[in-house]
Formats: sequence, structure tokens, C-alpha cells
Amino acid sequence: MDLLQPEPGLIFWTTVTFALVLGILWKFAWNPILGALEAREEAIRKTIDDAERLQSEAKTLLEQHEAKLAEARTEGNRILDEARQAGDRLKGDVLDKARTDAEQVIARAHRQLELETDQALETIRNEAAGLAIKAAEKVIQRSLTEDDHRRLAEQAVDEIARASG
Amino acid sequence: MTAFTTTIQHGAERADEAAHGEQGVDVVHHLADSHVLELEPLGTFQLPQWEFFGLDVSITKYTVYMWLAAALMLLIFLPMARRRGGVYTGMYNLFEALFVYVRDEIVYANIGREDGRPYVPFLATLFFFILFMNLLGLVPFGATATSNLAVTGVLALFSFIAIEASGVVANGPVKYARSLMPEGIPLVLAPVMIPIELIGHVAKPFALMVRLFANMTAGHVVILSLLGLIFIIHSYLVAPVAVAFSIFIYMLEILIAFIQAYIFATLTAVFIQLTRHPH
Amino acid sequence: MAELHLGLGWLGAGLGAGLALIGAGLGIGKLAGPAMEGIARQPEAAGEIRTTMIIAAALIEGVALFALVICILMALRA
Repeated sequence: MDLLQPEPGLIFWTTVTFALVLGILWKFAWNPILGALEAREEAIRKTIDDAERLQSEAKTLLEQHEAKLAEARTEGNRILDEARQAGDRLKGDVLDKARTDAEQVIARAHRQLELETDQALETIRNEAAGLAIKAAEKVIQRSLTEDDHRRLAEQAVDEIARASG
Repeated sequence: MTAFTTTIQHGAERADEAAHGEQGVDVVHHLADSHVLELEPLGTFQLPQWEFFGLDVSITKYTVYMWLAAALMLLIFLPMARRRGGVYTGMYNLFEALFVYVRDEIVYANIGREDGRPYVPFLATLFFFILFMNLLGLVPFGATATSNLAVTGVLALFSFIAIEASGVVANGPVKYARSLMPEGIPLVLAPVMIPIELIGHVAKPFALMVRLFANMTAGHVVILSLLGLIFIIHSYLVAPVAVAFSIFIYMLEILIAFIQAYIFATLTAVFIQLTRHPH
Repeated sequence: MAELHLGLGWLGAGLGAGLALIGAGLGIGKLAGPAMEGIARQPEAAGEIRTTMIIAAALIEGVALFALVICILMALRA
């Protein structure tokens, strides 16, 4: 048999075999496989699309929630700040009031003290003058007149007052 | 090349002697079709010889391996088509990957996703039929049916029919016939142009036929020639080198088996696309 | 004389095969070089370039195979 001589028998059988294989596989294999592949590709594509859609939805939801959370946090901070400010203000007011009250009380006490001191000084001065006159009278009753007594006593009282005051 | 030439020269009378490995490896005998199926340790089988209206339609070595390839295809792809759902494993994934490759890289890449779909069955059959026949030639005792001009010729004829039919279907018979005479060329040149275009149409499948045949034959010739060196030189020292080289060529042959199946199907797809959109 | 004819036939076949191989080798080499450069420059287009390259190489190879078939015919008919 020659290498380059095509045999009619082989031509015949190749034609028959190829045509049969082509026909059988066309109907019973290739088209079902193609269909199944395409269905699977479609299903996979759909699944991926769904997953992507769901993911983006979840993302927007998360973003919304985070935004809400941030809003709530700033709101809380604001309220806290306000409360703190109010408290500070209140504290200042109370302190101021207390301070002024205390100052008033102290001032009043000072005034009272001065008044009473003056009265006491006056009383002491009068009594001291009286006592001195009586003592002096007893000592120098005979040598001095009533007017000399008085002048001397007053001089003494003034000296005392000057020395003490 | 002594073995090659001498066996060609002396032909049949040397064949018996060569088959026993005494003088050399009979390359032509291995590559030519025959009525004998040699499965050596198991013996040889004489295949039946039939006549059909005066035509010799005997079952030969190549017919048997062609049927084996066809049977493998039916055994693999028919169950694959019936399968629904579940987890896909092993061989299923292998052939599905190959099929998807044929669909995407050969058909859709050349003809287009929408237009290419009707051509997927034909080109997939072509690809796997050629691939299986190529690979069966690399199995021990196997014979490469595609290293025969009759087989590749018929496959190329199917390609030719598919190419021309797709041109007619896509353009209509009249417009397609007019593509033989491209527009803008003076009518005087018609007697030159039309034969050239016709030759171009015939040369495409002819090239497909010869390419597949020559590639599959060449590899076997090289392997057998390398192994033949052992018998020609009559020395055991040659054997390791010759075997190593023939293993290398064998690996190359596996690659070529895939590449040629790919090329045959791809070029058919390219030609289909060319005739669908002539000039 | 017959011997000479046979020898010349084989000579022609061998030379023809060699020349065809030179042509095909040059052609595929010229094709593969720029293709490699293209892949190196644009690795993302590697698949497309490789496919186109294989198809073009197959067409060149086809022409070379025509020549080889003629050579085989010469050798066998010589």
C-alpha cells in the first residue's frame, strides 16, 4: 500500500464514521453540553450579580448606620457640653452670691464693731474722767478750787485720751 | 535512511524480513494502512475484507483505530451531556475544560459569540476526532489514522463543505458567487480572477489535508528512523542515544497531536469567518 | 542509466526538502521574533498574539508541506 495513495475503503469508512459521530454528538452531546454550560454560566453570573448587589446594599446600610451613630454621638456630646456649661454657670452664680453675702456680713460686722468700740471708748472716757475727778478731789481738796480741779482733770483726761487714742 | 530507502526499493519482499527486526525497521510498513492488526505479543489479527459494489471497503488498521477514537468520543461526551448538577470532578472537568477551550478560543474567538454558536458542534467534533486519532497513534500498538491521506482528505472535505456552506448561508448564493469576482476589478480580468479565487477556495482544505497528514507522518518517520539506527548500526551502544532521542520526539509528538487538532479546527473556523464576510 | 535517474531523483527530492525547510524556517523565524517582542511589550495581549502567531505559522508551514509532499512524490516515483 502506497503512503500517498488514498484507499477508497478508508475514504468510505472515514466519511461514514465522521458523519455518524458528528450527527450523534451534535444532537445528543454538543448541544446539551453547550446549553448546560450556558445555563451554568448564566447561573454563576446571576449569583455574582446578586452577591454584588447584596454587598452594595449592605454597604449603603452600613454607611447609613454609621452616619446615624456619628450623629447620635455628636448629639450626646452637644448635650453633655450644654449640661456642663449650665453647671459651670450655676456654680459661678452660687459662688458669687456666697462671696457677696460673706462680704456683706463681714462689712456689717466691721461696722458694728467700730460702733461698739466708739461707745465703749466714750463710756470709758466718761467714767475715767469721773473717777479721776473723785480721786483728785480726795487728794487735793483743800488747796485747789473747784475750777482748778476741773481744769486739771480735763487736762489729764485729754492726755490719757491722746495717749490711748 | 538506509532502512527507509531499501524498504521502499524492495517493497513487499523485504517487509516480512524487516518486521522481524533482523535488517531494519520498515517505516513504510508501519505507516501504511494494512489488513492486519498487529498486537505483537498477543499475535496478529487478520481483518475481514469486504467488497461493496466493486469498491474495496475492507476494515483496515486505520479504520479500527478511527472507530476506537469515535467510540471514545461517544463514551466520553454522551454521559457528559446527560449529567446534571452535582460536583464535577476528574475526567469530566478535563473534557469540559477542553470543550470550553474549543468553544471560546477556537470558535468564539474567530467567528464571534453570537454567530459562532451554530458552528460549535461541527468544530468540536472535528477537534476531538482529530485529537483522539492523533493520540491513539501514540499509544503502544496504536496507529495514527490521521497519518493517512484518505482520512485527512475526508476531514478536509467536511471542512470544505462547512466553509462553503457557511458562506452561502451567510451571504446568499448570489452574493457569495459574486465574491469570486471582487468589485472594482475590470471585467477583462475575470478569466484570470475567477480561477484564482476558485483555486484559493480549493487550496484551503487541501492545505488542511496535507498539513495534518504530513505532521502526523513526519513524527512517526523520525521516531522510527531513530529507532532504526539501532538495527542499522548493529550496536547496543547506539540504543540509549536513539531511545533518548525518540522519547524526546515522542514528547514533541504529544504536543503536535494537540497543536494539529487545534490548527485544523482553528483554520477551519478562520476560513468560515472569511467566507462569511468575503472582502 | 536507470540507477542514475534514481539517484538524481533522490538528489532532487533531498535538495527540494532542504530548500523548503530553509524557506519555512526563515518565515516562521521572522514571524516568531516580532511576536515574542510583542508579547514582551504587552504581556496582557500574549494569548491573542500567540493564537495569531500559531495560525500564521501554520499557513507558512502549509506552504512548506506542499513542497515536502512534492519531494516525497519525487522520492517515491524516482
